[in-house]
Amino acid sequence: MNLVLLWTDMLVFLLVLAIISFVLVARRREHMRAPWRQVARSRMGMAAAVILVVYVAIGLLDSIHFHPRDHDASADQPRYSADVISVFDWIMDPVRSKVEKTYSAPFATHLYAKETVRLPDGTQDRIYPRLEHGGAHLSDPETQRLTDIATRAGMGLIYALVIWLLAVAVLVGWQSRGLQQPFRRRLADIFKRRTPVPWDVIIYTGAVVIVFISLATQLAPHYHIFGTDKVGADVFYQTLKSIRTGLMIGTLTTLIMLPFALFLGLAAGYFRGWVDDVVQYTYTTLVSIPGVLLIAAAILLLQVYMSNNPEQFSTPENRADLRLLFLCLILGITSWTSLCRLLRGETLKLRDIEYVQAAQAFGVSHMTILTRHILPNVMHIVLITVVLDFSALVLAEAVLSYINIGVDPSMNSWGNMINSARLEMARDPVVWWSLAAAFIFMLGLVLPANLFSDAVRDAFDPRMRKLQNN
Amino acid sequence: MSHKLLEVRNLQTFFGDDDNLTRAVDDVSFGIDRDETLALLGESGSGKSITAHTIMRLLPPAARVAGGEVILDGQNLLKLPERRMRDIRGGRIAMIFQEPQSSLNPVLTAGQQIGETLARHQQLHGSAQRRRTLELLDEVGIPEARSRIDDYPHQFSGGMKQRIMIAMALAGRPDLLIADEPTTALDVTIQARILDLLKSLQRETHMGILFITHDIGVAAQVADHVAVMRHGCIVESNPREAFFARPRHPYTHELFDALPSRERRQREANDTRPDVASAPLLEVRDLKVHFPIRKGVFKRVVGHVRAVDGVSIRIHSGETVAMVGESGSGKTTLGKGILQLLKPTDGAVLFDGDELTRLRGDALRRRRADIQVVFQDPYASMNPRMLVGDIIEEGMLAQRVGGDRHERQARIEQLLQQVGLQAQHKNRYPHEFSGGQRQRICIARALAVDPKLIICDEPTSALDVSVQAQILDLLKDLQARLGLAYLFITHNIAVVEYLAHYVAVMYEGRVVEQGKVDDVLLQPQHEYTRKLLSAVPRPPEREAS
Repeated sequence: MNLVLLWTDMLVFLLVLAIISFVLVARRREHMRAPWRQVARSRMGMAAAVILVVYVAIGLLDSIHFHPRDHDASADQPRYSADVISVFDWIMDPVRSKVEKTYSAPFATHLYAKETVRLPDGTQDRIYPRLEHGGAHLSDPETQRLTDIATRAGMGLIYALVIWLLAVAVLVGWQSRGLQQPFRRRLADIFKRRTPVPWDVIIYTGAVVIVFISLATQLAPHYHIFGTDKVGADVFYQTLKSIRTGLMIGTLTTLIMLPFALFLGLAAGYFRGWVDDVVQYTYTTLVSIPGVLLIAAAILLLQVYMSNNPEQFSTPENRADLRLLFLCLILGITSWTSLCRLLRGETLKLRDIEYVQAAQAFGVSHMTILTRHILPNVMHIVLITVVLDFSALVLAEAVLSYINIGVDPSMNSWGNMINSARLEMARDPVVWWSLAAAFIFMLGLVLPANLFSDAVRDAFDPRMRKLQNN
Repeated sequence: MSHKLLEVRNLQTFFGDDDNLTRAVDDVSFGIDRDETLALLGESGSGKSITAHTIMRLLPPAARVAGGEVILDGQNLLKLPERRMRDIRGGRIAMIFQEPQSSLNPVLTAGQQIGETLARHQQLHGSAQRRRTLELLDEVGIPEARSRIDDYPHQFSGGMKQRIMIAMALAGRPDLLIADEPTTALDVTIQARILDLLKSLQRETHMGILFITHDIGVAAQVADHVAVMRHGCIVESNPREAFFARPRHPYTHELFDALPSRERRQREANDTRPDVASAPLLEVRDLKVHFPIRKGVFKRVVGHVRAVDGVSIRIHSGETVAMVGESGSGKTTLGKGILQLLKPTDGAVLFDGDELTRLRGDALRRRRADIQVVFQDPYASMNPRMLVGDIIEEGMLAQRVGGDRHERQARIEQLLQQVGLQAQHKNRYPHEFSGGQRQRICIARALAVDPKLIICDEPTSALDVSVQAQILDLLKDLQARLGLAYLFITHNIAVVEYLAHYVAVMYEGRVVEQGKVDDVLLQPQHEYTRKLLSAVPRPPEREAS
């Protein structure tokens, strides 16, 4: 293995590190733990969290890149291919490598378009030829296909049941040991909803997730679950690869905009005067420029630079990656203003509150007041904004790619899939599966993200807390 | 069958369910006649507001009525359907609240809001409605009602807003008026006028009044009958004369004893005698704090708000100087001007020979240890996200006093004990403490840097009477032991009588009168001081027991 660290990978792992260290700090502080405990008690929030965890796991696996070993090279003299693939690609190898000639429908055994082929007897005919990989193990697809799919799906369900039972046993066993309770009692507690954290919801959602994964592992190596696209690549694989792009846009953009919003918002609210004027004029100017135009201009600029300096980008992956990062950057620059405005308002309120004045009466320095008194008391706003913005950004990527100013066309993303589906929808017969796959998986990310962010907002927003207490 | 207007029998209102039951109102019975005022007296959390809300059937969803009857003219209100109850509310029983600011809708004019009630309960519309609205505004003493009827709430002062609230309540010609702390948010001179107004309105309309208050003085002024509530129960209920002459229940005695007053000061005789002969610790000379009013694109200064306009006072070590004034008189701004939290426009603040207004940067920072501050709101004055120990330590870190980590921790524990808390409280968060305990923590925080002067900005006005007494005692005790000087900013004359050596009366940014506490309070010279002192409600003398 020969690891490759792309720019976005680096930032993602930085983010993961930051989250881990935040968790370690928050564990020891009651006031930080309490709202998260409330999130953990929300049934809808936890169901959404389980699904999000699966997405994040796929995204993270897809963020560890390396040069694979060349198959032709001998064992003692390893040679590495020039390709860059990720751990996820490596896991998905049986799906990734099975490329057809062109379009094929989901679970099809034949191509979607007629082709002129030379028959063994020398004559030519226009038929739907068999696929090279999809359903290739069947001798007579007409009769065997449905039974084969049913058996494999059945196997998948059985595996899923076994894995789920094992997982539940391990989870409950581990909990009952931790709590020093008998196994059966803990199990009864969970399923009769007597635990503060809704473990039953987690277990049920886990079951759904396990069923889907297990079905996919049974079927995907033998069929194209979501068909293939124009150049014959598996759509299921593409849409899974798009998860990373979506997550990157949703998280890295926030990571980039956060320092701007925090620093400028707090400074404007705390120091007021000319600092406030400068910050306010900056963001009112920025929000009056149409965001899409700014993004289009920046991306076009980058494209020109890239085509003029091709020597700076060793691989196409590098190129696509840099474009993704640049997109995050420009989205970040256009989206920090709303958070900045919120933070400024809250800081204006906080700076006149009595504990800040008491600190000033002690001669505490401005920097210490900002970090110790003001920052911790605006963190809930930051958190709520970040989780609410996430889904908006994922959707923004789709829109931007659709008008060709999004990620690199070579990169898998839901936006690109939807963009290419624009032409496919005009074909007759219609090629619907690219659009459907992108739609389902995007919904599968954005809907849980919204539900989870609702749970987070309910837990962190002081006004919401007041509503619930009444 | 009784002939009383309102009869409340064995009322019980509970919060929560079986596991976590709070008996907010527990077996409360009382009656109110026409022309009668019942004062429901109690400290915060005693259940007096919940009683009123139960009568109006306006309880929060978490509360439920567990038993009892509320009978208005022979009709049990608790059994009525909600639709009939809406006719009762505003029609037969009206309510006024503590905060006139938040009880009026800011986007409707005074006339519209009163008209709404008239349309609902009196079926008055058009010009008849307007005529009646004008009459009501006249009745509650709004001058030039005709020109003010179309004004919005923000164009009225706090006292005027409360008058409009009363006019709204009267619009439905109620038989019973429930007044929930109607004067608590108002200044004492305005309070006196509102209380007079309620009395005269009662004489005209013969309504019964349920007056909820925490202030014994106010109760003495308005009540015909006084009921004392504690922990959801009525512990004592008597006609006014009997109640004040011979309070019976020990809790009532406690309440009376907790009242700060000159008598209590003489009784306790733990007074310190400040050293007035030596040079003053703090000398404020002709201090002015003006806020510029800016207008236009370039924010040109078009005028000034003269919040503090030429104040001179002296404070000696070991002395308590009280700064008395109503809201808006500039007393809090004066405190901030002395602390250099606000930059004074003009004048001098001499502390121990240093001119504070000229100090900059580090020199000022070092001086800050000598003057500390305790604020009014015990809930806003501590960062909710810091441990109590860290809150107290903050000043020591900023001032680089208190030695190393271990010494600082020891000092924090000692400070907590000094203000009557326990050493292990340092590992808790502020929200785990009550208002009085928080105020003790704030005092400990101020003491951490060994100040010579503490500016107390209304430190007890958010607290109950009994807790206020404890905090005042603590302040006195600390003064005797540490020789502290206090600048005590307050609107409460009784506290001044109890605590201060020297008093200055502030009015519209100026000190109108200052002198020794007995001289000023017993022989006020200035007209405003006399007006202020005569407005203070006082309970009548008790018979010697």
